[in-house]
Amino acid sequence: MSAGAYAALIDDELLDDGPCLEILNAGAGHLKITFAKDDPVERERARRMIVDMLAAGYAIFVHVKDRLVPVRKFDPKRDVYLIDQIGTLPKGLPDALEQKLRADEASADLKGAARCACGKPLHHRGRCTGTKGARYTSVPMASTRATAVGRTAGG
Amino acid sequence: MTNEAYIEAAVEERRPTWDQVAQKLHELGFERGEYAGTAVPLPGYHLTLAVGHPWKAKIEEIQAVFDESQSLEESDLLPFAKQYRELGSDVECVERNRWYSRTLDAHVVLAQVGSRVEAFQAHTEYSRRLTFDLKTFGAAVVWDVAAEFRAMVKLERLIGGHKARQYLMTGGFLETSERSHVTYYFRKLRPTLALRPGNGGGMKVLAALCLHPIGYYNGTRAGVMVPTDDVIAHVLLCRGDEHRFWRQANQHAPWEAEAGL
Repeated sequence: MSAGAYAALIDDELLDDGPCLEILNAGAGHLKITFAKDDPVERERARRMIVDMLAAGYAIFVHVKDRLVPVRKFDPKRDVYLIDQIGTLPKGLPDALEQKLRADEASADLKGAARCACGKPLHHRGRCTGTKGARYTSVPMASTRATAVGRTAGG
Repeated sequence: MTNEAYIEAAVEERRPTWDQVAQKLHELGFERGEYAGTAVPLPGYHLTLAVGHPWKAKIEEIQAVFDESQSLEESDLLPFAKQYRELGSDVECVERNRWYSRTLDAHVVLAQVGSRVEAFQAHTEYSRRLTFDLKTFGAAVVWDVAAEFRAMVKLERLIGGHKARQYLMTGGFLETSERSHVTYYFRKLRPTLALRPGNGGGMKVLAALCLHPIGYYNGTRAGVMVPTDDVIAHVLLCRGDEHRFWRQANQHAPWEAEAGL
């Protein structure tokens, strides 16, 4: 393949940083799935792919203000990715989101409700369910860029 | 038959090329929910797929057909057993223990030969390194040039112009984790090196982290995906979920051939 052919591969779609779902793909280098907000067919397709991929053990990362955050779950009813709550997130979240979550935490503290990772009070009775009951932050699918990596094998 | 002659014969007889086989397999995989594509078995190469891959059994079935005449296990794992067989001996050879000797720069194998236990010096590390590199050329036939180029553009968007330039010129770039303060040396067709400052002012290698999405060809540097896609996977996991990266990667010691140093 000549250098001219390489240049032809740089299309607008490849350079677009808008909301989409990118998948590292063995055949195509990477696939880009875009979904129009008002197209129910495209949204349903993306929804099904995300659910399938998470079930199959793919790692999906959302790009939040130049940071990569792993997706823990996906809520197909609300079309949102669920990522870790604020305390465990890296720095650099969108300001509005960070303020909202900090306010939530502050109101919880006022009620004297410091929480365990499982969502129960800090010194709770009974078995701790780990992070199963943990609170998540919702990130809308339609306005976020996400990248998925397939199941991995150690080399 | 030379390569050109094979291509001419293939065109005349309308035989598919590796590119076409790979493309068809990836399309089939995508239709059936394997969004990351699938692996292409190659004659003479043993393919290791990720645990839980739904096509693992099928791919291994195809691989077994390729492997029938190769006898990979015998030649790769027990070279001394092969030597014995060539000498006309029919005694049974069983590997009992194996370790790496820095003095010999080779693996030492203790094997039970009949009723005796004997020590063998397996391949030296430099010859293993060379074999890894040479076999990678063969595995490269399944990669698509356009896919590699697209992956390089994607990598540049991810790491920025300066590091992308380093990657293009040298095949690698450095990045330090804010979380663990470990410096990672991401390399094309080699495991990522985790580095920390050493005592003498240099860097010491904590581990060589080897990881491939979908799978890889044993005894080569090649993964199922194009080389830069492997690098992107390392960067994404390292930035997004460093703990998972360490957990899922094979951790090689720096002196092993697999580490690629």
